[in-house]
Amino acid sequence: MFPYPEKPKGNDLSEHLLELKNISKSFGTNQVLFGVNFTLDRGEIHAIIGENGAGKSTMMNIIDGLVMPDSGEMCLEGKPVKITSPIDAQELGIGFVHQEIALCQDVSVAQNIFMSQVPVNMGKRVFMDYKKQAAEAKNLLKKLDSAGIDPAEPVMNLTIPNQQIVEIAKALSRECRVLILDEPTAALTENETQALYKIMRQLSDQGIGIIYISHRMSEIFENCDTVSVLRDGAMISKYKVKEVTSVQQLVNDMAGREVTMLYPEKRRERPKNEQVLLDVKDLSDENGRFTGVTFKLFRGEILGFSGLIGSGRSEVMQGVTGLRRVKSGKVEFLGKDITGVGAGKIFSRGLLYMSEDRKQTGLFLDMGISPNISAMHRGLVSKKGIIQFGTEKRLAKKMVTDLNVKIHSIDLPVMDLSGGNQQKVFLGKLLAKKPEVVILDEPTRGIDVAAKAEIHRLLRNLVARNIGVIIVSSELNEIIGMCDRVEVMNEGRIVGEVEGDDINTISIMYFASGAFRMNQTSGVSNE
Amino acid sequence: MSNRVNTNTGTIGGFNLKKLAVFQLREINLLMILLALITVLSFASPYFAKWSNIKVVLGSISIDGIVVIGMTIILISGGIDLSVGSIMCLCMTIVAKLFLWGMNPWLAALLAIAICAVIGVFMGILVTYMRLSHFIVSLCFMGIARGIVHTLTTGTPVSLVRALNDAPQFRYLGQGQIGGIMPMTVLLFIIIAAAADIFVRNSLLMRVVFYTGSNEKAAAYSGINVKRVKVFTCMTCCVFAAMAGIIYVNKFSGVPVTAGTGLEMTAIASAVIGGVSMNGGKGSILGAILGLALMALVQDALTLFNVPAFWQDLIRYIIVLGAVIIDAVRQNAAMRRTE
Repeated sequence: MFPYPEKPKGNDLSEHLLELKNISKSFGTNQVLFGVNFTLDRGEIHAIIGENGAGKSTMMNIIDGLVMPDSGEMCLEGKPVKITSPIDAQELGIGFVHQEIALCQDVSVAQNIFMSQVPVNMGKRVFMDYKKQAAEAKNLLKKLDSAGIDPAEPVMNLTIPNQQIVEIAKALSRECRVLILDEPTAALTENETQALYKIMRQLSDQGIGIIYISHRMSEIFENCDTVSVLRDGAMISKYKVKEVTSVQQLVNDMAGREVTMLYPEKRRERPKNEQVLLDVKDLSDENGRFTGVTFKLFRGEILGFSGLIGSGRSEVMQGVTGLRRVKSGKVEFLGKDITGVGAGKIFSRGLLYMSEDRKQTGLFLDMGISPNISAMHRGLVSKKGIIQFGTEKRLAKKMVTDLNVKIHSIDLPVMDLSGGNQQKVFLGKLLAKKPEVVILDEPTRGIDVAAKAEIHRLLRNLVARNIGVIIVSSELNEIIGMCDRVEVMNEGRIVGEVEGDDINTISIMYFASGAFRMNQTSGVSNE
Repeated sequence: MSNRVNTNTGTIGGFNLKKLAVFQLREINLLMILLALITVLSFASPYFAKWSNIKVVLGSISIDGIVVIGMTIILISGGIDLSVGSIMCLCMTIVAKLFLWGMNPWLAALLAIAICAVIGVFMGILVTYMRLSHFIVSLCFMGIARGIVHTLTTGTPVSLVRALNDAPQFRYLGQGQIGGIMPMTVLLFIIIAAAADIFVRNSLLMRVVFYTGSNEKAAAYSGINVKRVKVFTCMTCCVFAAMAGIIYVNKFSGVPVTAGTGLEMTAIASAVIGGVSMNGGKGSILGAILGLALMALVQDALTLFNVPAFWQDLIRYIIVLGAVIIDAVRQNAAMRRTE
């Protein structure tokens, strides 16, 4: 059985593969989509961009049958269809790879891939045909250039990019005609992203139409045929990517106003008498996620930590802030040894860590904004162990204003906020009290361009107030655009440092990829 | 894109409860169900509205209620404690034995509470540092505590009737009547519950428990010592169960060795009816107590109408289920309105 549809027969080529006509949708009194029109052709890779809250998810959920439109029509290959559930969508050949990986971690790759059709396809008899299932999974993975993934392996043993491939395989396991990819590269590094592009190209060559959602502009230019811009629930514009002359055009369409995409100006030069804020010496952790890490952070600089995913960047930061046990080495903060001190004490002294995952390890999603803002600096809002609700609310309101969080009410649970606003609340949780050092792990993951630029400006302003900032980021542009100095990690060690004008893609990738090992005599300096 | 329910709306008889910030939608629902039930019962049974009957209902709420307070706190932290009934009975046994050996009853009570607190801390350590589940640990301690009771008493009830005659002040705690009408236990309970409710709403310590229950990892990443918080909640739950035991042993002048059997179910059911989330991070003492009041009223009605004992559990838990369903329907409706 070959899971891909046959090439379209000549007669229906004139029809669009998928067409949305005049789709509108309201939740209560809140209208989120206003007569949206959209077409997707066979083999087309169509990017949809828009700020958080522009209506992209609602639109995708309508295509996937999770949400019913109030009015409008959807046609698949020219025929009107009514999709009332994701099962309908799958049967019609619409596959949806969600932003967050939603696989059963303990279960094998093959069983994950065929999860939706256990009763349909494989269970004609009472017992499962595991052999057939594994063989078909293998076949499917081979088509995705990933024959290296063992169908019998439990998903939790796979790397994140491989899990993503399993997700795609799962979407393709039914006769798939339309594939929706929602920010598939958020957790991928450069090389893995390139591999994914290749897969997408192959699929589009087979006639599958791909809807591609991303916040990363560069991906759209590299990879997509068409781009549609959604703003405040309406389709603003549609371009052939080849005809788009500047990114600015798209960004302005998305924001509905002029947005500066430029990174804020970096500091001019390194001051003479720098004060060391953080001095990490030869730090190693217990299970070898990082070894012999040595670096310094000075007052008034943004230090970047670059490297591939899994190179140990986040773990180092957790080790520095007492969230992860270290085996050997020393951490000095403002001249005092803080090795082995608990996270709570370290935070209260003004060395703060913002984790990479606001949902899992950052926010209290079912709580309001006030308790989220005051979670880290609890002393600010309490007297003798009693919470001062007035003070707490004032603090929350101040942070909301300072960070320009857009909300209807301060009492809403933070899960109702858009990604960008959630990230700002998360940042507010750290900045409620003026820190000495903030360590930010992926500070702008999964948020829109405007919010991203805002956060970047905010960080620059913070540093101007004479504190130290460390940014850990997988996005090279962010590292290059924001940092005064960059440490590059590879396999748990700091393998290089670049500074000032030397910070560029080539110098960083040289270290991050491990290429320096092959060519130690290259022109880039290894300090 | 969606606005979640505004939990602070609701009126009863034209009186706007929104202004009283302590009332949440769930508590208002419960209060209305309770009022309806009380109205129906007063008309349906001539005995219900009598003070003698009300005193019985309040009396049962007063003892179980103290256990419910502890259960609410541990549920808010995301844990659970199945051992409360056995711990209560163990505390009673220890007090009784020490008392009969000639120890001062107040000192015996303090010592028994302390022993139960230590058991709670030990359970907490097993849960946090050994990473065992609350469920398994407390299930084992449910059996262990009950087992200790059986070995100490050799399975026979302990009577304190004579001993308590020599300690009238201590006896007043469980059997006293203020002004000859209001039982001391009820007053004690009202004081403890009010204090606990204020503590849960306003203290920084409980806020940290809420954080832990809402998102344990995020709490740890906010610099909260999550392990210590969980040990604290395990201990608190046992201390409340023990306090209930002190009043129980006093009120009944002895230890029935089956005391507290099934109490964990009543406590959990009350808390859940009262809006305490089994996933942690949500709940109030007020809600949980209202939940318990509902359970107690239903129990009372079943007795008043002479429903045979073997029918009572069935009917009681069907009504519990009904209350939870009614509440869920209302919550969902409120959510849809604002979406």
